[in-house]
Amino acid sequence: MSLLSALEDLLLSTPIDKVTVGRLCRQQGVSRSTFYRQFDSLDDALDQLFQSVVTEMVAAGDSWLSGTNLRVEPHLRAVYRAYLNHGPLMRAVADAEMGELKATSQHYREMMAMWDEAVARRLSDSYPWVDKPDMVAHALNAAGERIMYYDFGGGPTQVTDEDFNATVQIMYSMWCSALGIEQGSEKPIAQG
Amino acid sequence: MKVLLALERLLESYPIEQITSGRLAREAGISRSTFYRQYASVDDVLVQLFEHVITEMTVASDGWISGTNIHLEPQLRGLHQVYLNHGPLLRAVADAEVGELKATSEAYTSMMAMWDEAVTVRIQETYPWVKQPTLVAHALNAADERLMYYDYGKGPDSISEELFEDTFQVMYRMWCSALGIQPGSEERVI
Repeated sequence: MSLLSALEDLLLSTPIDKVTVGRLCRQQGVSRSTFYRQFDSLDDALDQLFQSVVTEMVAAGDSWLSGTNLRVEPHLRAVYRAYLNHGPLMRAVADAEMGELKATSQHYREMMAMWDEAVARRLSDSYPWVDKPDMVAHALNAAGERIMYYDFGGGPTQVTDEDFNATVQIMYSMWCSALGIEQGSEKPIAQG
Repeated sequence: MKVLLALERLLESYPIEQITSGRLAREAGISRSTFYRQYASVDDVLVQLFEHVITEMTVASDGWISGTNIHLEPQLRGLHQVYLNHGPLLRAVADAEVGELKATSEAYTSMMAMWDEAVTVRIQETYPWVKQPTLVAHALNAADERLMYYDYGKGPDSISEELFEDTFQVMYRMWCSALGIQPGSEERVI
């Protein structure tokens, strides 16, 4: 098992402020110098894991974000699924805003800003009737971010399919109302 | 009270992890030993300050929460305003979820749970047509929580009244759609 996968595994049982390089290495039966040949620090390793999840989430949302396929529902579901699959890691990354994990914390903020920008652009281009697209995008992302943190932070073994679907459904209806589209058909609701 | 106010003042310029009991005592103009006669730790001060703000937030929205005045708009705005006035403090409290501030972190978690529960009850009683009230309450609170954390965390001087109003309106509309009511009149949308 690679050290990165081992770190993600460790986060299933251990909060990030209790994870140390020593502990990770002991558990994997490798020396600390093996770790430091690959990474500068724990922050560096966590950040690399995080970057790969961001790539997964972007891939999951990409065709909606880029406007090639405007169905919200499957994309939202796929992004949420990617988060759930990496719940404990994503929770650790969000928690990194406080503490010593500077690189991770900075990339987390950049990721949220990038996401706000991408969603705002999609709203302006594809849902031009939405007033204040920047703020709506920001609010929807903040909502999704926090609800996933609470509900998916335990990872896939802690969340039943039914609970997952219920969370997606609530957020999907929030997105549809904010975008002024009908749930299901996703057709614009006549403005009045 | 002197120490509580000193902590809130310090939080306007420093992240919580850089505030030690020594620094806090200096800012309050008291000695460390006086500090420790009154408080067990910085965590202890932070949690007491937080309790005050929870009281303010509860007062701002009490009519709606208790069902005696179900006009959502002014009370949601009141809640946003209280958060903004104490933005740096509430940001520190939210950040305390990780780290050594155990009492604060626990108080924050139970405050969010209490809020979820109170909003759920209100939705069930006043907006009985809303499906899955527990989840809707949880989603709305999570949305508010995070948005306020981002937009109000730097306190009232960091945001214009206009931007505050816009932020509030986006959330208000989100609440109205989730509750199935018309923004403004707050009558049920059929």
